[in-house]
Amino acid sequence: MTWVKATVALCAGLLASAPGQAGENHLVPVEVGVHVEAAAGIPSDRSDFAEVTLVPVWEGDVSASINYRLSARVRFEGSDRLAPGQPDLSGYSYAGRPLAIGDTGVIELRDAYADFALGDVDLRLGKQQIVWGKLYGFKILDAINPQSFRRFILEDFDKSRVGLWSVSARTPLGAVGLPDWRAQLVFAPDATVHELPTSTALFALQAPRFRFGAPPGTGEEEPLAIELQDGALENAVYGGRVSGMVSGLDLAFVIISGLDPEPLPKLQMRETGAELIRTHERRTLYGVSAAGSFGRTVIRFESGYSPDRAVVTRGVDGMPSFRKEGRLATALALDVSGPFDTLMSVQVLEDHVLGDITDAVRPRSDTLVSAFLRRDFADERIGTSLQLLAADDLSDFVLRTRVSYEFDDTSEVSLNADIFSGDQNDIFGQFDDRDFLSVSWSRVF
Amino acid sequence: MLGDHALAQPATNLSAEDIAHNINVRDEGDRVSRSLAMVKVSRRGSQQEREAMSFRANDDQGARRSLIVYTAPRSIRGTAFMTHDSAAANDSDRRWLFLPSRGSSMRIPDAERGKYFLGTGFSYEDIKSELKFSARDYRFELADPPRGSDPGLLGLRAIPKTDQIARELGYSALHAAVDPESWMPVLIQFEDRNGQDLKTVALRQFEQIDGIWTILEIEVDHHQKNHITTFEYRDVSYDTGPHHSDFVPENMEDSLDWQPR
Repeated sequence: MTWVKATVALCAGLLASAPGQAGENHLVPVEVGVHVEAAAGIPSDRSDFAEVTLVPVWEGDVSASINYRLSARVRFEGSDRLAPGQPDLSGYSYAGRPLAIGDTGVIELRDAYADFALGDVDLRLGKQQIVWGKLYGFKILDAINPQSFRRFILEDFDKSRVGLWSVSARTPLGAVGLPDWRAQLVFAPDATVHELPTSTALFALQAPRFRFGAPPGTGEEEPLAIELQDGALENAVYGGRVSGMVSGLDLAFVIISGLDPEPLPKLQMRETGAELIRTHERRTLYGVSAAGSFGRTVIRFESGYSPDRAVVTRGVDGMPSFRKEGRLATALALDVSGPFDTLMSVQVLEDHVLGDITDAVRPRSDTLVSAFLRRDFADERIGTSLQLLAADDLSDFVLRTRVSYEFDDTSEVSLNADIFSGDQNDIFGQFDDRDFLSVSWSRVF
Repeated sequence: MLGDHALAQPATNLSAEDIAHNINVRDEGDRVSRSLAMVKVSRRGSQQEREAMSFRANDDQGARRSLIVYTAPRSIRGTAFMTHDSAAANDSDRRWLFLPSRGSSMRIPDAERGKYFLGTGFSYEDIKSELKFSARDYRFELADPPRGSDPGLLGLRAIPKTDQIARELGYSALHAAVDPESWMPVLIQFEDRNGQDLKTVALRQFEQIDGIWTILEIEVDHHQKNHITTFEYRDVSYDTGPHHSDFVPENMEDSLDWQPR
């Protein structure tokens, strides 16, 4: 793991040489987050697991104009159920790959970037997350960074989003007569794709649409090998966004070209015969987002069009393949300030494949709905929330409830229940037998 | 003593509108940056402490933009709140919240201005308005100063112009004692929408900095939620900090790096 040694040496050098304030020890993190979670399956032990997470963070100034942030994450799982055996980290690029510690531990660099300015251009250089979408819980334009699905979509996006080694440049557009507008360019030569759970993992994807059409309980042994094109530039993500305000509306226009982080099937001819592997194709995404306030309601809109996004197909011979088609995803969301200080949010997303896809492993249209309700009590010390994520006719859903209590500014305990329902071929129903109740405790030192 | 209060009038024989006008045209500088220490103490004795940086910039038309970003404690560090206060009479103000865990700014409903700012006794509108009472929202009446006010202060009562505005602000009226030298409301009693005592805002310390009357310590005693929040401003610096055009939602994620400059 040469890169790990190099990164550790670089970080240690940076921290040791940083000329901060007198008496400041840059080797000591400014913050260490500790998160302990224990979950019990309902009603069986199918979903039992326990995990401890440590997140040390270093922040500081190298000089008056250069700031840095480094954060790591160390996870130890008690039961080895989220990623049984050695975790499959093959979706990560060499430079971005976490380090497995035995079967149950993983250490990874979450952030490692420096901020500085060149004239009117603000630059962020290093491993980072770039968030462009306006949706909560769904993604259309939040498409720069890949995601870890080791806990399906149950982790908050800031924890499941995978940072990429990249350069981000942002500049105001006042000089061209647009004083409230900004342009941002991103270049990420980091060929990391989604982290997917293996077939024996607690949240192993079972629905055929996520397994190249293979019915639950069948198909190839996973993980499948990944093959990408050679060359950092061929696999890099290029992105541009122009955002600003017009007549009270927040608007953004986005273009992203990069590796589609969703895997595609490819038959590789070997001496022993045909072998199914995973590959990833480039795709381009054009998008627009808008948000505006109308009295007690905020309306959010987001739409993305890809003219060349690959769709997985399964022919009459039963062999998986893929074909590029146009794809349009559009979402509309309402956030309403409800009675008794409640926050209510509803989102509807329609993801539509343009063109003939009768042989595809996914339906032509997906309709996803989310509903979120939150209310705080006791001066915001007690938080309660209810979230429904559902597909199609609402028969396929996960219902999530959370009650949290803040002891003080540094520690919190929460009780969470995640209830899945639906057919095992469906998006949420595939985890119908993996409902769980969890208790977690978090503390920041 | 009053800085650039070209429109300020003598304190005698003033109408309620004159007093409100003098409050609202109080010089506040084109730009200001300052640090902020917040302490919230509940009646049961529990105490919460917060630290933040606060920035504001006005444009040539008087439209104000402001940002508060928390620097401590660690659990909320980087959380930022931005407002665009429109100068146009027919345009509503705009608000955004940035939560580091979300990674992007969120638009807040315009009508939520009466909601409490991150658990304090101040509403979003209180934070934004900095003890000014918009003539767009209120009609004004002369009144005796609230009981217990120092002699020499002027009394002003402000009543939301419509039920809709009252609903948005969360107040049915406010009753202020106004210092006629600085045109600072030094004591404000707020009534809830049912006319019951809601909270009392008291200006504990203010002084002139660079010729501008400046709030240094302000306290809100929330009678219904049973807690007292104190804001103490330090390192107040006028004509420094980000410019008006820097106050855009896309810059909120970097607001911890904003500096007086």
